Amino acid sequence: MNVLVVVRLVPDLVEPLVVTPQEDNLDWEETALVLNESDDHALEEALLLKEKYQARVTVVAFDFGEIDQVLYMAAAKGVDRIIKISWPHREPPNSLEIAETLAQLVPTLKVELVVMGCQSPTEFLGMAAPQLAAALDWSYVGVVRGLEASEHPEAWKAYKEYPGAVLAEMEVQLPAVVGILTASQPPRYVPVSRIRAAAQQTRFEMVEGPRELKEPSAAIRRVYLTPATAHATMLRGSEEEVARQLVEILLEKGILK
Amino acid sequence: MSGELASGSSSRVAEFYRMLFEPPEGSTAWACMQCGLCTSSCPLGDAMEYPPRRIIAEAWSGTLERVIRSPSVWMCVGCYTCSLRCPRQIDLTDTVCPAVRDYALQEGIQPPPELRAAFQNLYLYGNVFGQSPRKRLEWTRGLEVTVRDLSKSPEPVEVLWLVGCYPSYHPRNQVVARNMARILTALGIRWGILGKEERALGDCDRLFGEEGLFEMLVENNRRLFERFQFEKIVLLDPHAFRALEKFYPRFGAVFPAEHYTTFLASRLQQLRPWLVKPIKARVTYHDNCCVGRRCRCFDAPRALLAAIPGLELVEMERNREHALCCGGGGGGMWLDAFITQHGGRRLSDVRIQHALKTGAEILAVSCPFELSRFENAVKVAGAEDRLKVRDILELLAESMGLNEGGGP
Repeated sequence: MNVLVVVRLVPDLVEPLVVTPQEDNLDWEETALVLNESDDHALEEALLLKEKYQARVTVVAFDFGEIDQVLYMAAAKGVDRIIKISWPHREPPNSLEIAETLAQLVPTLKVELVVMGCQSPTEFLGMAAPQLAAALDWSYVGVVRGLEASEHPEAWKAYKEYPGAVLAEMEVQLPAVVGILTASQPPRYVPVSRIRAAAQQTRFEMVEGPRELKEPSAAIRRVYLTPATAHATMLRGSEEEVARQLVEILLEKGILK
Repeated sequence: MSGELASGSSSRVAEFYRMLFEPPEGSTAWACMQCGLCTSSCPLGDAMEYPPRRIIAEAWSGTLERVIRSPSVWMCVGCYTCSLRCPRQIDLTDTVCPAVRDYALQEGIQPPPELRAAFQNLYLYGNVFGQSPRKRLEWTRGLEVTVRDLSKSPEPVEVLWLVGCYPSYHPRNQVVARNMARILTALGIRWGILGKEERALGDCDRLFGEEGLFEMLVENNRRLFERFQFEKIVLLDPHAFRALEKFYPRFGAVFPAEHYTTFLASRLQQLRPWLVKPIKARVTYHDNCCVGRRCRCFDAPRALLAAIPGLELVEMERNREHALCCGGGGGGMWLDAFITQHGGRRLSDVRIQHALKTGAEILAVSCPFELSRFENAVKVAGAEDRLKVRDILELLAESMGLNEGGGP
């Protein structure tokens, strides 16, 4: 079993988001990036498949931002192969660009299963994984929280949650793309010493990505931060002052008479 | 006993034995005579499946595999009591526990989730809170004294003050940071901070076996400090002070450092004329483990408190080198639930009973972890009306008429 994991960087909301002066995109040079959370889970699920079923795990990422750090972390966790796709553009790839680029690459890798986060903050409606499945004409199941071997050799069991505490066990015909929501266990911690060692020992395979991008069929009209319509009022001062302010507010609202 | 390894089958085991039996300084664990003093004096020793004595015995026997799978690996709170009591002067806190934890991590044993998050935050953001480094200066908001942010305009200073993660981000500790700024300014000291470039020093992470993370922080901090001109580094966090004083030099990062208690106590003559406003209260002081037991500095904090007019200093039954740990050191700050679950108690809850017994109205502390730990413990004890927890800096600032709002 050969598994491909797609990992992406997304804006890190620990830092404030910065919009370009033209209000047409995020200012990507000013935007701190972090590994997409559900991609982290996809990587963990792939590593579990490696441990349980001796799957061979390849990680692929677009060369945007400080992706190398994420790839060294993946190497330290024990993936078998790392591929980096060149991406000389000012913005990270959108879901369609991810799907189209990977649809060219995947058939050359002899993988039967692609796992990636079922959503990321930078894509609309979590489309990257289903778009990739469509481009490859492979099976797709999304919002999955665990994978297991099936009794049928050409299939895998995927577990998916539905509203009302309903858990579905699905059989996915291979080859397939699976959108992971959470892994069967939390992403593992790998000591920094091993990441640093991986940084010295790991060589990435480079694959050329698209140099020219297609004109998008839909243009972004405006990107802006959601305006705050109301603010919480922080009561400051000593305990007595805060208590007095609280009473005043309760009186003003008519809660106290 | 010879220095031959009990098991040398893997390089990780060999590294463990190197850390344990070939420490850069101090006595080797080969010297252990299995007297058990370490275990009997450990505040959580009774709850550990593998207390320090047994870890050494298992290391001799080459049976570490079962040790690293036990919760007791993560229960040491770095209080240094075992190191102090060891008749063979084996530095158990600084060698045994970090070595076992490092080995466990290298073997793929997962640390408890809350610790994992703290490590991850440090790796990504340089602070345990997972906050933006850009927010490091938020504690200065509204501060009426000038703050020299050396990251923006480097200039020679007398004191490079490493504010620390808790005083930078934690609201209760931000009050303490502001008081430190006021006191340094009042004393006419030329001081500066590193602003958004400051990062954690990483002592707790080293004690928790994340040697790689510690080394990364040391390398970054050394490069950072070398860019600035200062006479001395002053710190509020005793753990960070300890790291800078003892472990940074191992990496060639030698910087003169002082905890704020010794720094201010050495300027007591200069400070004394400022201490005019009486604080009429019974105060007991909790010796933090790093400045106290580890660095054997017990008098400086007491001298500062004794200089405040009206203040009556009373001692807890266990004080100075015998003080009970608050439970927050060595990474315990992020493992409260885990340690309480496996240890059956929270050390800060036990310690607060010692403070209450003295009849003190104020528990004075000098470590950023202790404010929140003891304030929670006071609430757990239902003693909010009897005992307040205050950093020594808050008491000094109040007596100097510099504290926020000017009142107590």
